[in-house]
Amino acid sequence: MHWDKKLLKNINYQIPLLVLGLIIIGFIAVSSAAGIGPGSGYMAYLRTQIAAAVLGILLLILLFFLDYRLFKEYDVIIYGSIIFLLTFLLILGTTVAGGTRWLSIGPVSFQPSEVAKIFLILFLAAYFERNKKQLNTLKGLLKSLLYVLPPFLLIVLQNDLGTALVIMFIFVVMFFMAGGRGRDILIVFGGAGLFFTLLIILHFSLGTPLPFLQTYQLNRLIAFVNPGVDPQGIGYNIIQAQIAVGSGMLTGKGFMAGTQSQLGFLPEKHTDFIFAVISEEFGFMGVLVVLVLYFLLIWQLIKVMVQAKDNFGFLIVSGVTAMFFFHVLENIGMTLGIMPITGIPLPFISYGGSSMVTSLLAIGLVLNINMRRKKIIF
Amino acid sequence: MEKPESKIKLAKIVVIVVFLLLGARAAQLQIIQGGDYFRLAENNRLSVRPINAPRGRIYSADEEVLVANKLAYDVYFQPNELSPKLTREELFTKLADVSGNDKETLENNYLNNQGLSRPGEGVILLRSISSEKMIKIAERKDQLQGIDIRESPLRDYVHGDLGSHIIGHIGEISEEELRDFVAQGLDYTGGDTIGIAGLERQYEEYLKGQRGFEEVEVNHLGHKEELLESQEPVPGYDLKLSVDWGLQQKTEERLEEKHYYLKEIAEEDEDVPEPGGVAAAMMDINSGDILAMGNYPRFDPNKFATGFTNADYDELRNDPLQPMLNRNTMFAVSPGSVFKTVTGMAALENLEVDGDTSFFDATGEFHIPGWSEPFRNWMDYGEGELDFTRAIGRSNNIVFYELSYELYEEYQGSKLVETAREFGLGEITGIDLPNERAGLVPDGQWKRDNLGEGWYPGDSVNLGIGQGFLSTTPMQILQLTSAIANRGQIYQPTLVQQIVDSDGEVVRENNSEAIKSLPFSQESFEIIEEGLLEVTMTDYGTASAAFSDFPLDIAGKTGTAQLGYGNLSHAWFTAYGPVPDPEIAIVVFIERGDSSQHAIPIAADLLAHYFEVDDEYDGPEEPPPELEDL
Repeated sequence: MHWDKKLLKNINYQIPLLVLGLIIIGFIAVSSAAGIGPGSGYMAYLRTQIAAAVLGILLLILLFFLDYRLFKEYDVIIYGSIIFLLTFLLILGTTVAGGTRWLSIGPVSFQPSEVAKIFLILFLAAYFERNKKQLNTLKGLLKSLLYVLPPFLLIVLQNDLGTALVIMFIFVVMFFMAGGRGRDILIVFGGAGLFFTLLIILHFSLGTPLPFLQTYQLNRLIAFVNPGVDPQGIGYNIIQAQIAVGSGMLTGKGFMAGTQSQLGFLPEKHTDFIFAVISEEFGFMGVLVVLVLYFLLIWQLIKVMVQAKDNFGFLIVSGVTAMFFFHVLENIGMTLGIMPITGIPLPFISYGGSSMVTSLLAIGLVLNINMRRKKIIF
Repeated sequence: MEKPESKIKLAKIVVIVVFLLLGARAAQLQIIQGGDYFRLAENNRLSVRPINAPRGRIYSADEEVLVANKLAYDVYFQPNELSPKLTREELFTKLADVSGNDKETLENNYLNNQGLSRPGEGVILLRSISSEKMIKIAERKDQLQGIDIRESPLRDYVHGDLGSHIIGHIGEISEEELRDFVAQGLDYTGGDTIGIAGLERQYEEYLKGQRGFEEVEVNHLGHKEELLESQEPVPGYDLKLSVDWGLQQKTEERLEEKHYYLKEIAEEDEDVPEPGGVAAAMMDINSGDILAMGNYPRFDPNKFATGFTNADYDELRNDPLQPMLNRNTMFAVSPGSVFKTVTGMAALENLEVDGDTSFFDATGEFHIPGWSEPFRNWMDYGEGELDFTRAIGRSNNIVFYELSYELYEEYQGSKLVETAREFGLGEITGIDLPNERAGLVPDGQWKRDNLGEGWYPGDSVNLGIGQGFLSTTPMQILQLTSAIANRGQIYQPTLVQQIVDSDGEVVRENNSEAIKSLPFSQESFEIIEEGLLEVTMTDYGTASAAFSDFPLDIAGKTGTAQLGYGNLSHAWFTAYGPVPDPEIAIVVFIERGDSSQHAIPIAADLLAHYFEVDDEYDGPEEPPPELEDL
């Protein structure tokens, strides 16, 4: 183990500060979303959220003592545990709202797919580092895809299309940064995109079955294209979220005073649509604060990525950055009505222990790489 | 180690672009469209039930209720209370089944009225439904979540078309007016009823009352969470009129009778023209209070309250007799010989003329020196020697031609015009009814501006017998007659005596003070009155047939105003009494009534009714069909 107190001096302190800011905003937003008042139980929500943050921060600090280069040696074990966790989940998991995403161990339940994202980043970093010479071909891309497809499909089978897309996005960014060619990516993913578009068109014109999409996922797509198609039904979430955001106007309606969220017009308000609560209650000012914090965080992550001492670290940070970037883009984008709805959380802000812990672990990894970027000078 | 610099640069650009895009989209939703979304959010949250205030009632002087309110029900759709289990279409289908209306009507009403309400107020689907329908809908309230029945006072014009031109009618506020009123800060919303004509219009601000409301916060399931605010409606103020209902009814009946009588003789005799509208009004000469004001044809304001069909409305609008026109105030034509009182007054005041001044009508023709075309009397032979008062009694044109010509010679036409204007002609009387016409007292300036030619002596001579470009409303003639009766006081005619709030407190009271005193001598008034008495009381007077047996002394003046084409004439008669202590004045006007002789009996009947002398008086005989132009 390479541990020295002096390593802490190398840390980019902007990152923990930005994360702390986002977590605090999350506490405020979750309290409001859960609603104050007798029997609303907002304290329970806040307590869980604080507990998850504390746990995550502890794990993050613990991670400091572990040199990230260690993970390079255990890539097979890491990959094996991803597949094991996800398979195990499919068999034993708890189904909530159409998705099998939860695994309970005693009183604690968590979402393996969240943890899978981190493990996958570590595995892919190790894999790409080892095979970096073979990545700049189409064959290299297809071969790499073979490793990411099993976890991807397992997550799709849990009906967690959002997280599956996150994984695919992480893969694409890391592959690209590791030396893959943009052309190959365009061919493969463009082709896949065309294929699915064709499937959907055939589904509507000829009624052929859609093997990958559930009805509700298809409906989300329809509603994204035209929310007015069924304002009380499939377009409801999109419309209500936009009303919540827009009605916040410049300065918002005030803490706990958002009518859309407090009266229940806004769905999934403490998890997927937490950004709508912030937008409604704190207005464009609040939105700007959150967007600026995320932007600065991602900017600092890119900085850490560039400063990384080795290719393995560089790839890990690029994966983590891609993960956060996609979460922010997709979650805020869907709330603002410019992305289709997929239920993925807003990092550090959405209510949910697994997401909070995983996000903090990812930050821990980044800081770990960051503080070990220089030779220690004695 | 080596880093893919260009790829990192690309990543940075993508990040910047994406964040700018998110920021721009948020700005678009929250700043540019923020107001619209705020309205939508309020619409989600608020159920505002306006409680319409009953409009004020209208009473006659003898406490007869003329306009009241019935209870009716309106059906509203409250979109935010729609159950999540139903779509709007499904709800409308259910409502259509229950109410018996077809679904398309409901859908159309919804689409048309959607933009007119304020946030949370709901959209009106059906207006004034019957109580049976209301009960049917109310019984299925549970299945019709989102449908709201609201009580709404329905205007009830108790006496149908009687007095319709005084009362006027209400109707739905037009989009234009709504925009205007809202801009003025007045409390109106789409679908509101508003006074359109008559007193309903004139006293809108008093009659309207103040709408109450109940504002409820509703959650996403359409369940009421909390009563936020409520306010009781304040009923509109009541109007108490000076109109005596018995007299009003008698007036309306008499006018209707006359109209049909004239129609009948017109059908039998092709020389008699089809009559137009008939109008009459009576006024207290010492206050300007209107005691009765009738018209025929009339209209039924109830039809406006319950909602017209387009066909019905078009029929009413396109009726050539214009049943909606109050000819007492909204119709100005030549007054004919009733104007001779004005010419007489101008002569007495400005020329060397008194009651005994003698004139000579040799041929029934008058010649302006230097003009070849003669001006004729209504008789085609000379009447010989007449004094001034007899000239009024006989309504002799030759004498009045001469007087107006003399006035023209001495004052270049200005004195007669001035005198007419002193009496209030050429400007509105200021009666409390909307859209009153001012008529016209033409002068040299007017003629140059409008016809591009100068004022000729012939214009003055024509004006002297109330012909030519002169036009007056019956109300102006009534005001004029009244001023002669009371020796020079001009009163503003008024219908509303008192405005009373719902607690019975008098909010406003009509003051009966004269607005103007005429600068004419007592003697002149007395001479004119003498002449007017000769019209009715002597065997040679133009109205003696109806009035010679009348138990009271009535002063009056006939008028047959030629239209100048098609041998058509309007019939006029105005009178006051009882001399020597007159109380009331009257005017009767028959559009294309052929001769004043048709107007006189109406006045005689109504005066007999007013003075309660019906028993001592057999009533006037209807004149023969063909008459001289008196």
